[in-house]
Amino acid sequence: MSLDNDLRNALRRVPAPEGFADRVLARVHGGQTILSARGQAGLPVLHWWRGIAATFLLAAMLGGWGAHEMVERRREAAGQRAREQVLLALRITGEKLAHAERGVRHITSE
Amino acid sequence: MRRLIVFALLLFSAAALQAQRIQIDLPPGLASKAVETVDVTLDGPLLRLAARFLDGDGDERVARDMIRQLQGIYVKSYQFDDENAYDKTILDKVRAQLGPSWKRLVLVKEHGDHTEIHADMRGENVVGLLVIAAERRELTIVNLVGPIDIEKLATLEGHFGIPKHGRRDKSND
Repeated sequence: MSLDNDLRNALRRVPAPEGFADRVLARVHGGQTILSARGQAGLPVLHWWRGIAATFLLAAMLGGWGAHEMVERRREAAGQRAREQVLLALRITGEKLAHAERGVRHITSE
Repeated sequence: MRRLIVFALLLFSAAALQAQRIQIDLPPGLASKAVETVDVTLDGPLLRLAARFLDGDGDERVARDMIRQLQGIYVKSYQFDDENAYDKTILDKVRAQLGPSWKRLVLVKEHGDHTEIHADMRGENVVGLLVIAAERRELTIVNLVGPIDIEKLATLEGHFGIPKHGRRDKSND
């Protein structure tokens, strides 16, 4: 009979501690919030404005890089053109100076 | 007031040392008569840019050293098929721009060819050079603006494919 008594004691109704229901409800609400932030598959849900901002940032970065590349390419082309012009100008100048020098030598040697 | 006078004097002396660019104004129809035309206009910023693209060896090193202090290089060169394709009086307009600081260094007249070299002298310094080579089938005008090292200029011979005629002559002597 003592088994009966033990069972009865173990399964007897015990009132919940004070504030238990409120704490459970608070946890339940907290869990729902976490669930909604992570979505069904457990992945974080992106808000639409964050997606647009990220797209704009990426576009700005790509645009900036492209513009920088274009400016660099133009500068390189202008530099090469200027280099070739300098070499051409100095070649012509040198030829004419050498021509004049030859003329002076020829005249003085006569 | 004293500061203003000092500033004005500095400005005046800077302007006095400023090299003179010669405007190479030639008749517009001249280029259409030519079979080959070269027109080079390089001012200070373009020269600085070009210097960054010139190599550190050989001819390009010579060129880089040469243009380091220059403020401008202006070249017009025309080659013609026919002799006397242009009137040599068109050069008077170019010569008329030469101020009192310009001195003629060389004038060579030979077989119808005419070469003259003028230098803009400020004291001992050459701050500009004008070369006019009026040949029967070719007209070339070169204006270098800025401090010019004549010694360096002489080293052009032997570079850029220009043969060393003078030195070869000397060695043969």
